[in-house]
Amino acid sequence: MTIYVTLDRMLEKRGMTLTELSERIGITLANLSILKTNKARAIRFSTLEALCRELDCQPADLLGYDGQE
Amino acid sequence: MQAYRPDRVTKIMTGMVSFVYYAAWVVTALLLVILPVLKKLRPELWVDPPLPVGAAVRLPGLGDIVVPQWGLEPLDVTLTMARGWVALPESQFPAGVPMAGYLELVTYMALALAFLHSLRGLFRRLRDGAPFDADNATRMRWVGVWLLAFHLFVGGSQYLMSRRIAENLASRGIGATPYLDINWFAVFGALVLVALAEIFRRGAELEEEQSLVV
Repeated sequence: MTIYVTLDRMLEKRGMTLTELSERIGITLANLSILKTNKARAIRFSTLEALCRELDCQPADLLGYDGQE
Repeated sequence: MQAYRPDRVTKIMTGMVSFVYYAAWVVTALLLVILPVLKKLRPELWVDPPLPVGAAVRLPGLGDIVVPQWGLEPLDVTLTMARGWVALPESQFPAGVPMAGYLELVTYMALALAFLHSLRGLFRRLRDGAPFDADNATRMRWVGVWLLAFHLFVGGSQYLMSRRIAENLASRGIGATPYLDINWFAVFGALVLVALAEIFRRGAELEEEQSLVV
């Protein structure tokens, strides 16, 4: 997949666990795991907004693009 | 999104299909294993029952007169086709026919069990809350395929029996022609099921995509 999520990096920076983040933004741990492991097919703006709010970051801090196949 | 909850009809249908499935296994074991073994081991218990065989023949106009019970004028009715069962004691079947009949019965029961197995799997996944499942699309296709195979086989084998009946009637001076009696409505339904399975498969793909949207 060419779009990748750097959620684990941000969690480490903020010293937060996935479980804590899940409880704060009201998204299940299973769904956050799907996102973290780059298995998600799409992300809602509402989810991205909640992540940026809790992790105090910009969308670009969470998403990356890998041009190589 | 709320979790899927199957309705009462689905639960009842699942129960009914499961019951019929297990009953079919019992009947299969009885007809194909227990009774033949019993006949072999204890032939004195065998009562040589008349075995029914389905057949359909077209009869020439017989000009039958029917008087209805409610006292109307007699009606001039022409009987053109008879479809039913021919019952003959097993001992009177020509040589080789009982074995052919046994193999036919094996095929009937195998197709019926395969159909019920796929249908039961379909309903169970529906009852368990995963209707749009890739495996369910495959099961739906197999339900259609088994239904199609069953009706074509029944029609074909009955046609072969119809030919024997027609020959028998011809030897007695009754002109009859065998008739290919296939339940075309069921065949059409089976083909529709196979087509619907493809739509179902697309539904399963969309469901999977939806589950991966965070």
